[in-house]
Amino acid sequence: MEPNLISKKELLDEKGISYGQLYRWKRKQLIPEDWFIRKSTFTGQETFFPRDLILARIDKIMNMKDDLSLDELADQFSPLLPEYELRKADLMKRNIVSNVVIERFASVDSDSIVYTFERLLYFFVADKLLHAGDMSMEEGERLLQTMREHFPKFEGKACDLLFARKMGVSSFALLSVPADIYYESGVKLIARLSMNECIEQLKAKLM
Amino acid sequence: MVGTTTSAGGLFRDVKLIGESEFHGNVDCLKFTNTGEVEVNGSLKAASELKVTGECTIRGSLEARRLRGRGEIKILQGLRGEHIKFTGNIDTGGDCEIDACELQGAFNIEGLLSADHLELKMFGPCRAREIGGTALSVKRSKASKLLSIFRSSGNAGLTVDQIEGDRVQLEYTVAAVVRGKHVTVGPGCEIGRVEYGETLTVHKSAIVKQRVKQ
Repeated sequence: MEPNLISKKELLDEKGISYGQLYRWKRKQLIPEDWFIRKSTFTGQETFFPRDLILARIDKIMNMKDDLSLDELADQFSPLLPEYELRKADLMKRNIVSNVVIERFASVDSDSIVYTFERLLYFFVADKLLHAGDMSMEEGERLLQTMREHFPKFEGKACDLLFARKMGVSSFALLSVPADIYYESGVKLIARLSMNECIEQLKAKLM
Repeated sequence: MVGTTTSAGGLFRDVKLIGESEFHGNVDCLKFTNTGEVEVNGSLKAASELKVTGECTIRGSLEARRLRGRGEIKILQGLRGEHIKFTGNIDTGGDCEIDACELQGAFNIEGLLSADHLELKMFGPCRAREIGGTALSVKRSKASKLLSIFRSSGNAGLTVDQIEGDRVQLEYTVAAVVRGKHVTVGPGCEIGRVEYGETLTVHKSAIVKQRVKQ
């Protein structure tokens, strides 16, 4: 058995949830379709899930389901970009991304400019990588450029951001998932961020 | 629209059709009422209600809050809705996901049939890859005995690979695996393996090869 997968039965036992709940959450699209991995075992077909993803998601659902309706939860988890806009002044006030990022990448924009969710997401990703100490300011510029140019092409489909470096030269790439990628030796993968996860985190921060 | 009509599709408020109609694109509306035959070469979305009396073919997916009527529905992709009450035949190429589902008749679902509350009264052969939900009840309709005298197109019964639910009640079902908390296996069932949490009742004419309590 692959260690990073969990079978449906184990999941139900571990979390104390019923089949009904699981199917209901799936129906409400709280659990993405591509997490349901069907495999043959000696007892016939069984369904498996990516262990870390599903456990975190179930915890989140169980914590939030008392405060939010299932439909509201579904909006939270949906990879679609919400129609959300925020003025630059509010962005700074609410401390969603650090001021360093705003000063560096948005200094030309006036305070009254309105950012779409997409633009906020780009700042958020840059902020994340800068904070982790993975990326330099100059690379940040290139990151934003890459995102602006290529991210809309995915049209809401799940994608990952790859950030790799070889002999000090860095490069960014956007990759639709699920996909495996292998590099030549000497390339160091510095970060791989799931955009859907970033969208989710940013949504939680904004709401 | 009355008579033989065609439309490009698009955004509507209420759609009422009588006769033979065809849409060439997606249809997005609040209420869709059809008497007769309709073909949608795209997806159909009815935000409040879809009522079908007759035949309905959808080349895309169907999304309807409430679906009721009688006749035949063919969907090439999936079906999604909150409440279904339908008598007749339903064919879907994808998954069928409904909160409350009351079906009388027969169906063929290529994917998963998922419902909180499923009440199935079988008139003819039913097939699904998987069934999952909270309360599932599968019964053979009383009228099916009468019908079987006139028709020879297969017996009223359900064939499914796997059933998973909290409360499962089955009749005339052939399944490889059934998993549930409370499982009732009624007459005419042939189950490869039952995994149950709390209770299991098996009718004397049913065949259960393997029983596992968890």
